[in-house]
Amino acid sequence: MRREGPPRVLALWLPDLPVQRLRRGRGGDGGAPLAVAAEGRIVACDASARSGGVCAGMSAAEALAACGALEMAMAEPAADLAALRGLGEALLAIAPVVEVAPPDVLLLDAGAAHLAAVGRWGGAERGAAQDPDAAEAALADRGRALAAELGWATRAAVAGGRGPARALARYGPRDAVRVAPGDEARALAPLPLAALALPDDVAGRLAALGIRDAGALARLPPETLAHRFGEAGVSAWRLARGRDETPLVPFTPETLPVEAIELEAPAETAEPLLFALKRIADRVAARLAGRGLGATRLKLVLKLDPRGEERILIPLAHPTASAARWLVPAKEHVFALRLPGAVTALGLAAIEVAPVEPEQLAIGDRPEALAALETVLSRLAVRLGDGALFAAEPVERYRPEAAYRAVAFRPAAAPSALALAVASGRRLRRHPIGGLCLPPPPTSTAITAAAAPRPKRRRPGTARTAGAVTEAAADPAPFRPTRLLAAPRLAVAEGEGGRITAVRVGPRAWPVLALEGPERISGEWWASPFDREYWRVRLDGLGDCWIYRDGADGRLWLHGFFD
Amino acid sequence: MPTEAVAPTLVLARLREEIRRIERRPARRGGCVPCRRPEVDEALPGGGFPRGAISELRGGPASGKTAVALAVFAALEGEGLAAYVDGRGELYPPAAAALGVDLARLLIVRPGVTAAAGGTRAADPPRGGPAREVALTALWAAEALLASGAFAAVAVDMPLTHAVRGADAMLRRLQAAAEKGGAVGLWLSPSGSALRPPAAVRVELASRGGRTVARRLVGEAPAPWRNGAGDAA
Repeated sequence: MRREGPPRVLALWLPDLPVQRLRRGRGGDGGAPLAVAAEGRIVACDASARSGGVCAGMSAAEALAACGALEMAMAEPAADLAALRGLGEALLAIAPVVEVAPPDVLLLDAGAAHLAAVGRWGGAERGAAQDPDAAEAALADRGRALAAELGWATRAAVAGGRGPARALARYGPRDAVRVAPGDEARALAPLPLAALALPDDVAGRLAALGIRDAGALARLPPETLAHRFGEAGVSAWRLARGRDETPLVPFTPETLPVEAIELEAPAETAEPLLFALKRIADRVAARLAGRGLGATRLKLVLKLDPRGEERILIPLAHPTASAARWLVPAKEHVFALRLPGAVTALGLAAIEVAPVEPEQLAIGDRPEALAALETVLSRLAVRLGDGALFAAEPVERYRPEAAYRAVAFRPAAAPSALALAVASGRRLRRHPIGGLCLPPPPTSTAITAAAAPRPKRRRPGTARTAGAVTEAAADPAPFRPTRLLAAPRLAVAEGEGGRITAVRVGPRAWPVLALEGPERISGEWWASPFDREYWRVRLDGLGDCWIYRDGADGRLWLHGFFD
Repeated sequence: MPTEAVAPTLVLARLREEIRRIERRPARRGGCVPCRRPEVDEALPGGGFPRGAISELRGGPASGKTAVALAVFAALEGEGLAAYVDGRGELYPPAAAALGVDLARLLIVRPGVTAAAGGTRAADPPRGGPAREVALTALWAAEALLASGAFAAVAVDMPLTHAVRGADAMLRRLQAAAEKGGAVGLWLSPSGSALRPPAAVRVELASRGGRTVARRLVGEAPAPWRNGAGDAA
């Protein structure tokens, strides 16, 4: 599929970018004719201003004289560049390389368009995978559609080389142009010299020589241009003949996406807020998706009338770039809001992100269950807050209460029986009727012995209590108590003749039926040393308890229950 | 013509099927989940805990009810996810792992805990003020988890008293939530608890000489204790 010649490039030009940015931030095309000025000159205007006689290059006074209702805004090159980068970020979803070419052009690598047609679009565009020409046209359509979804109007051109693609996007005859490989010179010929974006001195001298279009420049002998203009002249000639082999400069986003929108009228109810929120959530999500990231925490900022703002942090259970999933917890917040004033503008930022791994559903997986899980985890995270829902992960610590830590609950798909067998080393055995099956899983007792943590401990044994000898419980009880008290309760041993007959916890004393131990656990001398002797004590009327004697002071503590 | 009479019926049937497909919720589950502890399973009517219903596990502080709930989680074996609403903040995950529970597929919910890394709280039953809020939040979380259809089993350990206003109504909603989501709902309640949710099965557990014994409660007349040997103890 590799082609000879300059790299294939898709150029997307955003006409009147400053005006588009302002309109987009206001959430629509309504309102007075709008123009943007810099240093007293109009640099961009919208269609209604243009129909009123305003055009770029006109002085601000002339523009106002031509169109009395004109709204004038000052140019903000930094904001324009940020907006261009934002769109470039989203376009990373459809092209391996995107170059941001200020002030208003994005260049995409179209060399792998046929591969993208298979991976991303499939189905109706399968034909594009076989035909590189159709794939390029499809890529251009996809780029323009993605930009339109995000509120941008664009013109597109696919051609060989950065310069020709850029020139054709801006000055081409149609909104979407595709030039076959090797046909760039003919496509560029009718374009004005300005389309080639030559250095000002070269462009001025060529114009003085009567060179008006790219075709005229291409027809000049290159030796003459080299003699008169030097290297710049030869470069201009090569560009006019469609020969531009400079590579794209990859754009790597360095900041997390932020989008904002002003409401047409101050909102006092949740519905208009949610409507506007969905719009900016789509934009932020598209930008994250282009980078293969998903948000794990969002910040929603509501600008209040007349001043002040409300900031809301929205934790998400899973990293996701799906705006629909963000809206579930966002709605919970918005409906619970009690604001002192109406909302005039919204801003949404992804303040914590994580890579989103591609998901592949196996046979038997239920996508609706995954969606239900996302929804309920988001609701719980909003209502209960951080730290209230987690999965536990074992930690190599001697101190029992520190033997696990909370981690984010991100369950993997259920492993298949075969994967389980491979992972556990169990051998498949032949089923008596036919086929292979798994041997029965180990009993809970065996699991207990295998999986229980083994801290540093002294050998446990049986002990005599009040004339009774304990036995190892036949019950498949866990090695550790199922419930561990957050704050151990002070216990007092009662007995006679060196034998413990009862343990007093609080006001009541419980007769001891049996006890097993001790299991000595100590360590962490480098941080907070501890030395404990644990006993499993069976108390009449209470059950099996986990009691330890603190080596520091000799006191007894009830630490947990084998519940 | 018969074909003309049948065609609209077929069309309607296909449309109904299409609407069902579009509106499809997570598949409902039926049957029972045994915890693979004979002394408990033998006491249960279907040999296990019913899906789509609340089952009450009643017992003292060391009666084995938490271990039974964890055994149910372990018995799922990748069939689905499990959730434990830990109102006391006392569940000890290493013990769950020792019982065969896949910790990565167990969601632990501790209402009222805001600090990360497994914060803990006092374990006294809530009566009013912030503790009441914690109790109601725990019940709300249990209802959301049961109704979601994303979890195959949900256990709730939240001791309640009559002093918690609004708990009665929320407890009644748990059964409907379990029916909706198809999960095995396990309500762990201490002995003598006055508040109890509507439950399809009530089992009382006790520790006798290191063994867990169980008996099913039917109304006020408890069945004989089962010791796991197939006989009444």
